Amino acid sequence: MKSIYIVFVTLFAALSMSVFAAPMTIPMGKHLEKGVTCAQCHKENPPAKAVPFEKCESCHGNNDAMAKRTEKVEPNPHFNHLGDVTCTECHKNHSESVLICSNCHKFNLKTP
Amino acid sequence: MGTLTRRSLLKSGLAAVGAGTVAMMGRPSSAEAATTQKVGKAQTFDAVIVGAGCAGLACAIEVHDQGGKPVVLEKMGRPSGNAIFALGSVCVTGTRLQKEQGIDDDSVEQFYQDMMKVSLQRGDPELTRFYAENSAEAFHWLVDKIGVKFKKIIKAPYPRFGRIHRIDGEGITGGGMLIRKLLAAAKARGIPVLYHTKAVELLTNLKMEVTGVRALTPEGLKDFNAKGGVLIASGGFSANREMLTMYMGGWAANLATRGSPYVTGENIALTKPLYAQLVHMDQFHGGPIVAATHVNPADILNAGYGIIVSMQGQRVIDEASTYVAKAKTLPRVTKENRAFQICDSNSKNPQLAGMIKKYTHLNSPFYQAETLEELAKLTDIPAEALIKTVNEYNDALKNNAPAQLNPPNTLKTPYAVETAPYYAFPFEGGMTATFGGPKINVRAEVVNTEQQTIPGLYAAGNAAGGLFYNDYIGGCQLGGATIFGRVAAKEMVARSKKA
Repeated sequence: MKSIYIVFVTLFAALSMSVFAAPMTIPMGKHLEKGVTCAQCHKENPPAKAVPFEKCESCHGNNDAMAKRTEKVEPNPHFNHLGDVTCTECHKNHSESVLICSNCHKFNLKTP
Repeated sequence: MGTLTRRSLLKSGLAAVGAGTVAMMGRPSSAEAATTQKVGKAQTFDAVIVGAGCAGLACAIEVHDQGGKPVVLEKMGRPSGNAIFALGSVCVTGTRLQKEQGIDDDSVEQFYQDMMKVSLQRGDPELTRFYAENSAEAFHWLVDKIGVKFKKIIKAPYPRFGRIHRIDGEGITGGGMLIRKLLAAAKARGIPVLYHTKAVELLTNLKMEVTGVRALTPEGLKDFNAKGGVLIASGGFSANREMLTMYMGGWAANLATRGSPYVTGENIALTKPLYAQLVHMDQFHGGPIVAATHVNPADILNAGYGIIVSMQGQRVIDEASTYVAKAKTLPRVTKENRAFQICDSNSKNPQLAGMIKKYTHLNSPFYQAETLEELAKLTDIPAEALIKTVNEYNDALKNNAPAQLNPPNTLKTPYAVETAPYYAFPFEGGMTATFGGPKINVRAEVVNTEQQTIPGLYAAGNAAGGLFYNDYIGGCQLGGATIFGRVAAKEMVARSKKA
């Protein structure tokens, strides 16, 4: 419980700072570059909860649409034997992205 | 207790469980009743199914199609059992596909006999016969009701013959595609599949009949009442090292996991408190795997060329044994559970080119060298030992005495390791799936230690015990899951109607 509290306070402090001072202290990767604001993904202010899959889907399309977009990538990360993986399992907006395929395989794929 | 809030409940998880249990027993105080409702109001279904794998989803769909109301509880965020890792073979006989291809040299009786032979006559004869008799119908159900596409049958040697019906994975594993199709079929029927919902306890009445499941959900503990019954379809315990050690020994726990890392023995943990009869607990299917990349090197191990040497450069296994036996032996004869398949460039080796391609494609390290010294350097095998081992092997072939080697080499036609370049393919011994679990009968009812059925309790797929022993014919895992999952569905719907 304590650690969650600390994370929350840190997050809150970081966000508060961002209101007054640019640049943002929370890494936002591609979203920041494209000018996406916190409120476009997070319902609550300040952000506290993980963003649901549907929110990602509303801009990027569902898994089928993403699979089509990356159909030339070998192997296609969005059409795999694990099923419909949630975006944020690999794509981390506030930390370095990962590739969950790497739990078992060694593919030459980079996760944006 | 009267002022319990959500936060204090989280803090005192055990107290919350206690309150829930008291409420279940029918004498709650008003405050406790409120607490129970806050933790999770019980819902009632005809069938409560634990595990969204092949058996669980097949069962849920059949319950629905028989007019019942099912719910599927899955502890992970998506189906995460062994099926998605499977190539996707379904072993059946008497199908339309066989007829279309003119395959008519098999019978249900022959299939039954071969299944029994493969299980060393120790598989349950009734379950085996039921499987053989109902396999074609299960296959047609997958095609007609679920829309699973199958590839052309490729005939194989005993015991597969023309029985292996391979699912078209359309770019992914056949098993992964099967689960996608089953999920889509469940969704089209409006069947609730609840994720992050882990069954932690079976609920029983005073007669110890199974009446439901208590599960941990993201909102806390919640009860799912079952009018017809509960199906345990949570797979086996191949990823539970404690259980592997307990039932098979520590060596088995050192095998690499070939399937799901989340198949952790709920079939045992949930049913044992009800005195379910646990059978075939030391039995499993093994196979080779490269643990770091999940390449399956079975083909090169089966090719009949080259030798298998340890990290220390010693031959450790009879190269004539099956890939299953090789995988099961490796953790007992090497401390690393690791070895190299050493091959030369004998142009007759039918698997060499394919295996080089496979390891390369999956970025899995393998080694190639013009001399054995160089190969030893690349693999970190002591050069002297490797050269000595290869020379001894080649000499034994010249003297026509490979069976006198230790361990013996009993290949019918062994070939010397003599043509450069030389190759070393590393691999580990792995476990595909466990065969043990609560014994079921042909109605998929779980049987207790006194040979009585436990009313309301069913098991199917790798969660159930009895069907497999020693080995199985490839494709019988998914076949068994489909057949007995659907049997359980029919039984639970009928039982619910009687209730």
